[in-house]
Amino acid sequence: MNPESAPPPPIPAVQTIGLTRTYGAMTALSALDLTVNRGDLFGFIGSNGAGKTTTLRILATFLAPSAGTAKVLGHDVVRDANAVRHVIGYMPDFFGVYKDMEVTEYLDFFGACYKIPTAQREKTVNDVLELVGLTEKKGALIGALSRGMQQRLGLARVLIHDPQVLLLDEPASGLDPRARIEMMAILQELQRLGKTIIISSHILSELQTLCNRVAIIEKGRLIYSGPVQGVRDQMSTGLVIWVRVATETERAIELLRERPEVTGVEVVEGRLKVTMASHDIDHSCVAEVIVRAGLKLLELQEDELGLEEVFLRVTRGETQ
Amino acid sequence: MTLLPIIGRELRSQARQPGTYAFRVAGVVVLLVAAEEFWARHGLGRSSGGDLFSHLHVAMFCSIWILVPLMSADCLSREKREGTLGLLFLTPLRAREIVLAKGLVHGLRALMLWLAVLPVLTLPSLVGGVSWREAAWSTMINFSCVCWALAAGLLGSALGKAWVRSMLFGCLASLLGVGAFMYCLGVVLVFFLARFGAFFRQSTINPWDYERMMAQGFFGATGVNHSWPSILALIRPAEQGNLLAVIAIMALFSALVLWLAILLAATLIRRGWREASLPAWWQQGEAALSTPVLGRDFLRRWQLRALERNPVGWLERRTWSGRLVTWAWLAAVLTITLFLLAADWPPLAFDWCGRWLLVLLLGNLAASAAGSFRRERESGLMELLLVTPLDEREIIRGRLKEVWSQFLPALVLLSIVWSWMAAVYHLPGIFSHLTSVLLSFVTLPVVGLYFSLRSRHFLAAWLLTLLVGAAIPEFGQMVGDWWPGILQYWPVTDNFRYFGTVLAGHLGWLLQLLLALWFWQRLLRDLRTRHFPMERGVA
Repeated sequence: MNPESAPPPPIPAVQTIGLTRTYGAMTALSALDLTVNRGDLFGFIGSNGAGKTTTLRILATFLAPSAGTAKVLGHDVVRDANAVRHVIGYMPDFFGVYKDMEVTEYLDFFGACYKIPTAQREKTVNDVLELVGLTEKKGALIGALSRGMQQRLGLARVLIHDPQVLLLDEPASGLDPRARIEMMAILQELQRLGKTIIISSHILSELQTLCNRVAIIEKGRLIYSGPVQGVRDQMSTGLVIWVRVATETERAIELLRERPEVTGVEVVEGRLKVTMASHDIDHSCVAEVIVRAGLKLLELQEDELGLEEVFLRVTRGETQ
Repeated sequence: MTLLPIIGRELRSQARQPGTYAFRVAGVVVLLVAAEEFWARHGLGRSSGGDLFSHLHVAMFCSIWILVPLMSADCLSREKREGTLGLLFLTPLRAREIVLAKGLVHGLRALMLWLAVLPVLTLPSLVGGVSWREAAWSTMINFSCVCWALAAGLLGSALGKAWVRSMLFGCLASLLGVGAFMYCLGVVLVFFLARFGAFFRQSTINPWDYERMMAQGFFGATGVNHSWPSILALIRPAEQGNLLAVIAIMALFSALVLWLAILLAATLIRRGWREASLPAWWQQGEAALSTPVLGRDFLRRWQLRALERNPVGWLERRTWSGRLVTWAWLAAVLTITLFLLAADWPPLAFDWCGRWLLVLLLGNLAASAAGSFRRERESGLMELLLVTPLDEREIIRGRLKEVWSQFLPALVLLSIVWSWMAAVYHLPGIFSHLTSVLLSFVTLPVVGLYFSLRSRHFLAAWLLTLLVGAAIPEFGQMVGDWWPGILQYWPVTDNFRYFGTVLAGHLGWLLQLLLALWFWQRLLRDLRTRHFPMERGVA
């Protein structure tokens, strides 16, 4: 195949190479290499002080890196900051609102900052308000909005100039479960519309279902970046199946230990914890063994290693 | 009373703020500049210590009435904004204790400031011509002023929640306070002189003779025009001690006023800490006064155009209260001018009023600039603005244009009227003074914006703006004025002497321009490198 005829690799939505940021003697980010593809809903995980906010601030052009490069849709965040600002929407981990302004005034103001023409601005404001479900609050003072609504208004502000990449720092923090679910639904809708979303959050159970890729960062260093399933596989010691039988638990243990796919069986709170040699094994063999032996199988459940467990294992709760 | 926890917290917090120490240094600098200015004008002869002392006392007097309310006007409102006042009320602390503790802390700050400037105040004694009675008089007046000014600040803080409102209420209360204090002092002095005065005993005195009481109070409080020795000379030496006793009673009365203000402020915060919405009549009144009735479409189009052209400036101008500054100044200038013309006052009085109005306008301009970026910095909005396509220059220019446009109409009107009066009555130095004013008008906001970005506290930002934008160039001009005298003793060519003299004659203006340029560069650099205190964590 002629290498010249091959199409160029697609430009990633975000790419950082050796990204480093120091504050005096403290290193907040240390040689971070990260790639986020277009259309990804990318979870950015790390304990407090791990460097997530610093990374997002650099990508948003608010901070300059001390070393390394960061590119958003091929634009360098330092040399081509203005181009980056047009393609990103940045939502920090605080509201950043003028509380004595009306909702539409606030969006109108940021629309003007993004140089959206007056004629177009009104429609854009209405559209983003509809998208985040705040149409009814158009004329309300921001100070009178609930926390969840202010957060949605922040998201509307981010969308006002129709950016392709969204950088969201803890968008669901402090929200009640309902508001969180609504926020996550909006993010899924945005992904469906083709936006690339980088979201840092502590609510890992939601990231687990929401994101297709995650990165784990600790002490400013990247520990993992890839698909959510990949991190589970990497971190877990083997596939775990939970089994409950009605009687003859000891016999069931013996039978299972005889199987070559099974590496360990132990009783935990009346249930059997069966550890398989690898994730690729078809675990129906466990049920087959028990049923063939004439034992009554009450429960069989695959243990999924949650992102929270992975996060705890990876970081061990260490912070800078 | 449980005061110590609050006092301890406040003192610890202030001890960590560099502004606390800078504030004392600024106080010393103000008095040193006042002393230097006196020296430059009058020289230091034998027994001129009395005049110098009076001069320094006036500087102290003005500083107390301006700085103490500003210093204390945000002490309660800040707690309201940050939601910590409610937490204090959930403890066994009572409102009175909270306000009293705050008042004590700020009283202590004022005392520390007074102690810091005390060495400068002893200079006149070294020169000679200051009696112990004058020193005691000055001390008691200063104490009284601190009580009244602190009362004004605490009341302003209890009334407002947003810092701008608290400052505004504090300044208004201070203005009323200075009038009330002078009136009370005037009444006391007039009655005392009528009873004990050696030369003019009066049997009937009308305490409502406002002009007389105010005039007496003004001279008694400030000591200008040798008024203290003159008043003392009116009394027999044996009864001069009684006069001081009366002034001491006035000081005690001032402490009582402070106590009453504390009680009132405590009542206000006890009623208002629960974040209740504004009463309906207030909301209706505000809506009635602030909602446009005529030309709504025009106003809307005008606002949209302003937003399109200068979004950063529009932020300041979008509310009626933001536009009020322009109209208030215009109205004040117009009213005072018409009053002076109608009253047919002498031209020099007009000249004097014009100068002071310009000084006040420039002071307000500096305050407006020094508080300009504060909200954006505190709420984190600066971070959002800096990631929009607006670049740093646009943000600075936008805000500068807005600050200038707020004060420009009043300045233009005042300059025109003043120039006309100067031309008609042949008042001297008008061109030079107008040039200084215009230069300050251009340069002060640049310096103010820099300090509004860098300084966490409004008062520190404002004082630094005045120091750098006005006091240092003024000092430079004084140095420049000495230059020709120094050149006489140097063997230099005539050309050098000529250019040196011309340059020295405009050293203040040159310095002002250079400083503004330098601060512009620093402002731009600090915004670009994000080198300013942010209220949020960084990593």
